[in-house]
Amino acid sequence: MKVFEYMPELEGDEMQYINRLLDELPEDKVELFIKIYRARRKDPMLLLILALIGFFGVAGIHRFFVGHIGMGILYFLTAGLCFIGTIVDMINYKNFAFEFNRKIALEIKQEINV
Amino acid sequence: MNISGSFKKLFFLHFEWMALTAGLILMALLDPFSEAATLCPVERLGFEFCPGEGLGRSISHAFRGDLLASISMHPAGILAILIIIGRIGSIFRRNLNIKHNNSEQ
Repeated sequence: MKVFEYMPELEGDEMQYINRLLDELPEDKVELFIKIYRARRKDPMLLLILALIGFFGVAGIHRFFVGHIGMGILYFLTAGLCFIGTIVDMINYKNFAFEFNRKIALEIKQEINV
Repeated sequence: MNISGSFKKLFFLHFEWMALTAGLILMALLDPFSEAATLCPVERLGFEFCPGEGLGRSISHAFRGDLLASISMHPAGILAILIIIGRIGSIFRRNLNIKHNNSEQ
């Protein structure tokens, strides 16, 4: 419930995950976590828009954006695997964002707990 | 957990590597010597040029062990196989991590 008040923009799996992660943290640490997490997380909607650019210009920006350097280069060289890859990624964009944010959240929690 | 929730979870865990593996298998099954063999929707629509030109046939050559022909078809063919296999590996590592974390809680 706490996370819902601090970060209303989270939804679904991400909200549940952050909720579970912050369960046993004290109030002040939760606030610190939320501040850092909000600054570092990637918004899924932005990923979708970056993937869309693949149809009109350069493909693969969204892959670089979430840290898949190899796939980014491959998409860049082949116009998003002949657009098939871009279309698949437009179905899958929420998962990329969640995968990235999950990693970031764990890192932040470890940094705070030290 | 309800049905749509567990479906979402399965989708998150398994969709991408399945798509990549399916793509690799399809490209490996292409006939590398046929000019007409292509998976590319741009070419099927009738356009002449596509930057992924020859990648499928290049990967197909590489799977048959003909590396020189693979490079001459598309220089990035072998690189593409390595990158895709690397990405599948990183998905599996991520899924193992998730399993591990869930069993701890």
